[in-house]
Amino acid sequence: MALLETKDLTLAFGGLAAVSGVNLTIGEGELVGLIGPNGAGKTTVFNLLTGIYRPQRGDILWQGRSLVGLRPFQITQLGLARTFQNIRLFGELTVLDNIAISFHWHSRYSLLGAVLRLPSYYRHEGEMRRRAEELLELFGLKQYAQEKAKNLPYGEQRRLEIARALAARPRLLLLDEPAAGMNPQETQALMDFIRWLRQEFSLSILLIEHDMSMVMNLCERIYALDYGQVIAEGPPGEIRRHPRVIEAYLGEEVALALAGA
Amino acid sequence: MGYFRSKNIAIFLVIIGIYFAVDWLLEEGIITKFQQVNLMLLGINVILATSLNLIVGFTGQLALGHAGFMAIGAYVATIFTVKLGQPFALALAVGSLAAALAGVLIGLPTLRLRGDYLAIATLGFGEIIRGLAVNIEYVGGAAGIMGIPRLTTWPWLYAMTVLTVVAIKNFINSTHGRACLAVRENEIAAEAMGINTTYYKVLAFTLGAFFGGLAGGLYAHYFYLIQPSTFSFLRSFDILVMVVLGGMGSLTGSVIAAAAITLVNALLQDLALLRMVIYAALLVAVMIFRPQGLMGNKELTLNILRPRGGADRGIVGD
Repeated sequence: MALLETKDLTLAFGGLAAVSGVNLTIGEGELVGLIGPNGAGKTTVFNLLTGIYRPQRGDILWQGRSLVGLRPFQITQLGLARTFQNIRLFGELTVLDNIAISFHWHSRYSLLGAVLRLPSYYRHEGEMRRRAEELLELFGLKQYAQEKAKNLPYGEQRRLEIARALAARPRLLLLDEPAAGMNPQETQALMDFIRWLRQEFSLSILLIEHDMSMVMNLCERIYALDYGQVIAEGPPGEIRRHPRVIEAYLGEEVALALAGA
Repeated sequence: MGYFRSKNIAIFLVIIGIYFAVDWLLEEGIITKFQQVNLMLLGINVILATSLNLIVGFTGQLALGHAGFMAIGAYVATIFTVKLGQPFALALAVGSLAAALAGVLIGLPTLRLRGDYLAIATLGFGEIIRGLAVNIEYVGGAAGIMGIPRLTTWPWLYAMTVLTVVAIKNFINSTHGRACLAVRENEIAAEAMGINTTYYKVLAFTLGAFFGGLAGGLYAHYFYLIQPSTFSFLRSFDILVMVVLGGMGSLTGSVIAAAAITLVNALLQDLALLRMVIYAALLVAVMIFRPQGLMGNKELTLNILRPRGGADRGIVGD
């Protein structure tokens, strides 16, 4: 059974069909790309998968169970975690606290334990702190542990967002344009990092990305989206040569280049 | 880690020390009657400011109905002592729980609203409570309830104030408190990280209401008399001013601001009308020179005596 499957996923904003009839399948351990020109509906798909929007038609199946109607936090607790295109860290809090917040839903002490500072508080709080530090170490962010998240350099903020998503212990990680604003060297490093992540945490990953070379090199399978519809699906080699993809996505750039823009 | 770290012992000794020092001053009559009234008011204001800060400063929900919760606590506690002849401790507990219950009932529908909309809705709630008190003959209508026994003594006041501050501090420095902070920082991200944001907003609101009700019960049993006008929206604003002045998201800031405002009010008492002018000017000055409030979102801790690497202190495992 597929880990995640969408069937005829549809959402319109007013008269504009943001996503229409989208069928995606993501298998266990797969690294799948989602591409498409600006406004194609990629982030809307993410928002549908994570419960921020509710589809008007169609279904989202997580290991055969429907996610439609669940709140975002419930979906996260089932094993889907995400990052955001425009970074959404808890800016005023420390890097360590950012991670600890993701541990919250598997924290094991009660409100009373917290207020009365029962032994369970000290035990679990120490455990959370240790695990958060381990994760930061793994992500090379340990030296920033006590720094406010908003004071981190941009690249580190992106990395912290991924670390925070992983702290929620997902089985499927949704990355929304992780390479946005990065130069080629940083993008290369990010690709190695994502591959390593998948191994280390035995994850499935769904990736939105604009950087073509990154998607083509990284993903095993790609969905191309345009005007809210899947126009092509397949391995990178096929997508690269697919006429509708060239027209919708790559063709646009070529056309602009020809126009001298 | 544990109760008996040197830091906790030091704080405990300071708390006990302050209690006996003030107790001695009261016994010896060094603290005058007038100062005594302000001392009680100071404790009550500390409870009000820290509990509102939990809602506004730490969870980021701009609520303007704190006087409403205070009123519920005051009226319910008074009914229990005056009308039903119950002991003070029970009256305080029931008053606080009634306010907390009101917090849940008001929180569930209104906390869907954001920012200014929530402010208006909670402002309306406070006025509804006041309006109810005016129209219920059982609690004296507009005249209120008079002749409430003075049961709020220094030990009661001090114990309740310390209890409130410690409970709120412990709450904030736990995973539950961090969930509230996450809601304040970014609700969408908090939800995406597995936090039930509705639950934590309502929880913060309920806890804040509980302690607001406690302050009301203490207030009623010190000042002999409660009237609906005591709990008008102006009082809600007074409490909010303390929170903003101390710093949104700083518990020690709220304590300092509540103390400072009580003292300034007491010192300026003789100046009559001019008092409000000076008070307002002071507030304007603070907001110009320290827009983030006296403490910002930092805490005054014993760690301040130790040098640190310049970074802000985290709250994990504190």
